[in-house]
Amino acid sequence: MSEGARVDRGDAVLSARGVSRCFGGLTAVCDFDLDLFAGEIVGLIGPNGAGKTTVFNLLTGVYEPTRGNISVRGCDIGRMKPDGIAGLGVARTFQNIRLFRDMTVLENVKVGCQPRKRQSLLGALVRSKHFRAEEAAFEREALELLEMMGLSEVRGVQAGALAYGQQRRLEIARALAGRPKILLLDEPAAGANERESADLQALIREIRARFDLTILVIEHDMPFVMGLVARLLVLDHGETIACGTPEEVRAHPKVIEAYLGQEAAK
Amino acid sequence: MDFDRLLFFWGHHFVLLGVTVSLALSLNLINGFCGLFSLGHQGFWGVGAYMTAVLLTVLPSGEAGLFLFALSFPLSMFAAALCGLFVGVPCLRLRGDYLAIATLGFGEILRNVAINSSFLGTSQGLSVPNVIRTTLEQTFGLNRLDARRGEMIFYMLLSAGVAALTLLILRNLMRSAHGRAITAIRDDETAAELLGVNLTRYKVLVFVLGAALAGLAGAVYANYQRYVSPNQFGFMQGVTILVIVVMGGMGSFTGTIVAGVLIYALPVLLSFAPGTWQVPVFYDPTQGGDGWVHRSPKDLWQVFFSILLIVVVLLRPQGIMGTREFSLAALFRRKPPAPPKEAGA
Amino acid sequence: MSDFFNFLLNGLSCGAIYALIAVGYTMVYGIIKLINFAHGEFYMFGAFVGYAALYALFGVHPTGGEPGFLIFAASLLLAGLLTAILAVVVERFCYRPLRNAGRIVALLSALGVSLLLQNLGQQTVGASYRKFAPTLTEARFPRTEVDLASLQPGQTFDRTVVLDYALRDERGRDQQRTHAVVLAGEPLSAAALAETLRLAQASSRPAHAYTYAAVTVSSKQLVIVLTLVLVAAGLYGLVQHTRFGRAMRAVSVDFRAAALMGIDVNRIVSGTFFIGAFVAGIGGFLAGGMYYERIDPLMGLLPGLKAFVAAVLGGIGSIPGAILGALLLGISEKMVEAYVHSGLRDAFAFGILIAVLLVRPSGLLGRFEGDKV
Repeated sequence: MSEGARVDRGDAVLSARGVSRCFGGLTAVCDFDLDLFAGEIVGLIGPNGAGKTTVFNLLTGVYEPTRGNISVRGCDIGRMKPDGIAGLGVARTFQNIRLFRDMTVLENVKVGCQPRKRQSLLGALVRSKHFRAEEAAFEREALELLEMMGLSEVRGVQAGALAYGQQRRLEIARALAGRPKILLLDEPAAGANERESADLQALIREIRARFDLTILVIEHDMPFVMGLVARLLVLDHGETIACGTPEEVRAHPKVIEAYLGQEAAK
Repeated sequence: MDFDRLLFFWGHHFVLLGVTVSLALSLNLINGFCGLFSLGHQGFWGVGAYMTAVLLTVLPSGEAGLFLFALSFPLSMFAAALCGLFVGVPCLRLRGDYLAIATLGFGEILRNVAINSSFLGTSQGLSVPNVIRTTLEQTFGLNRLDARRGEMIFYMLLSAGVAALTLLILRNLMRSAHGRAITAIRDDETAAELLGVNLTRYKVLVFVLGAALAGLAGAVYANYQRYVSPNQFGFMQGVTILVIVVMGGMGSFTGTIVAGVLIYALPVLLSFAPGTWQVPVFYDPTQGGDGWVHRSPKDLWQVFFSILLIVVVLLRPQGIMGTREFSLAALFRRKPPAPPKEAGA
Repeated sequence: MSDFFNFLLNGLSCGAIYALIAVGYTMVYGIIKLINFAHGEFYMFGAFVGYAALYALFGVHPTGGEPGFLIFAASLLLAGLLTAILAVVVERFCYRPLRNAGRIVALLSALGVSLLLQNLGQQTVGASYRKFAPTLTEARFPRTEVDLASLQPGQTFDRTVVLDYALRDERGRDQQRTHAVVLAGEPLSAAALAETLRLAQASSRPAHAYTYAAVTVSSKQLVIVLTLVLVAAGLYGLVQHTRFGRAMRAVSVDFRAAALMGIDVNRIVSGTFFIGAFVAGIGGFLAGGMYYERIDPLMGLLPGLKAFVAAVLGGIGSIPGAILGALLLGISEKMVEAYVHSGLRDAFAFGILIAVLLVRPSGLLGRFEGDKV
């Protein structure tokens, strides 16, 4: 079911060791370990409030870990700010969509090019040759990404005016514009119907192949995530209660109790 | 004779209008495009003007006058930029209304320092030598009237040039990846940071560049007015600039220019109202006469201006132009414009 | 040393004036997170209403004569009341429509209202100062009465002796005057004694001679500080022990939740503006009209900003914090004026503001609510 169950193991592109984060007395994430290897798609699941988005926030520098280390492509990111981590090739989308609502769709994607910009300030002011070449390249690539996401038609529309599914795809396009190595998707299939989530699955596979990505995905939609990922981590109350292939996870008693049990009970 | 009256009257207003528009444009970078809310722009303007005044009065000019005059522009920019750095760095920690109040406090501190410094002429201020007229008279041997004419034309060109340069710099900046980073900060700081925008770098850049451009306008102002004093750079002057930015649209260059021209020109035009146009506005028996206080339309401009600000904020909080730019082509197009291919600032 | 205590008392009364403005700032910020720039103008408005009330309603010319306690109190009440009504109107039409439009937009509207009130003032009552005094008999305490009949030529005192007397003006009202009889340590000359007795004779009401302690407090200072104490006690009772106060606290914690719990949020906000502006209005009348003895349309600008500094220093949103911050600010300003450099007073105050914002944005007694990420 899952393609290439264990990809060729090199060094991990992202690894977290014993990462914890406390808010006041509450431990949102406890002793979290993760190795992401180049090219794989890993799922992160768990009931509401399990700490999934907190993990994303830790991996992208929104929060500093209370304990533990995170390294991205060999670089320790413990005290780095989000923009520095983005510069290392980590991009993400958001559970509650955070587009630049007043900008056009195209502009949103162009903002995503930030980590790659090499233009100097002076170059921008005098419109140097290098500057113009880079801007043209950004424009071209942004249009290509929009084409791929099926958003070409609406490129001049304000992002806030898009339909929900389009906004989710635009977030992915914006994240891809920085040419990341690691993409963190926070509930990409939320609100999608069966057909749309099948399309989305294909799209995620396509972008992984095309951009040589490693993907970590948070998702509630079980069939969606089971069909997409090579392996899964299950969080509950901030603790990793299981990890392994979808089949292993599905059979894990703790998971059934904490998560799938709830689903079954419905 | 008639020409001279026109030249000196309208030329004067043209120069000051250029300064006002330059200031509003640079404030729009900070408040409009980056979404920081500064109430201290008059401070940067004043620092630039004072830098010019100090440079031209403290150093012996004479032969070197023209050289110092030329030097006053980059130096004023530099001094104001330094102040921008000084304000920008600590203010990064503050958001929204807190930043507004801190920058207001900063502007008032600067004014207070000038008032108490004998080096800066205390509340009396400093006079600036008239380098351009002296040069025209002595080097080019023009007579007094011609030198005055030449001076006015020179400053009209200078002021327009500085406004145009400010516009060009800001427009080019905003139509680059750097500009998109700045707008992204305004729209969603957290999302921008996660997409690789270095918040510290860009906020400081915005403050420094905005301040430098205000300093440049300050140099033009000090050289032209040939006089600087703390009261020229008070909170009220800052508010006028702010109102231009708000009315024109936070994040629209053309809006700023249109609003700048309107807000500057209206009171000037009102001053042409016949002297007999006096409106009774208030009954005050302590003031003698029949007790009625009369005001001319020009006097009432300030009241109208305040009401206009409130009405604009209430009806169109995003300003008259919003973030859009005004173009003649858009005005004459019949259908709603298709999605623009070139998505500029 | 006695100088120090006099500066302290001056600072305290100056701080009390700031406090009367600052409580309104802090209440409004606490409840709708708006820096009400126009609050300083409410203070100015109160001073002018008091001036007009004394003149128009009670026929006391503000630059002369004593209105008597009842008339003074009635003008004070009127100043507070009309200012409060103005504030409620301003809130209803200029702030309420923008409640969900973001803090900066509301701040701009407040700035507009502030400008409007200043400019309207300048175009109606005029931009120049008006003298507004005396409105209350001034006296300083502690003092010791010197029996006029016992004064002898050649007599010396270890303190200056001052004669308080009054003259009747053309409107038939008593105007308070003072006259230095003899300076400390100098012998009383026969001529000075004769002049003193002549003035005492001419006085339109019984004249008294006093010696004053080294540290004195004036009746005006007492009135201002006493007003602040009453206001503080009243606000404490209101906030802690009434339904309105409970509702106010609920709204300040969570606007939406309070509305869902059935609290009429609009009424609470109007009430907050009413109370805050009432206090600012009487503050304007007492400070501008009674303490500083002059009023003008821009008089609210600087005290308004200072009061905001005080509110931030004390912790914006906290009423005790605003009072504490205002008193501290008033005292330290006077100390800077006296012992550092008189011109640096304002720079010092704004320096405090920036320092507090950077180092401890929650102020002395407040809780800082950071933006939610």
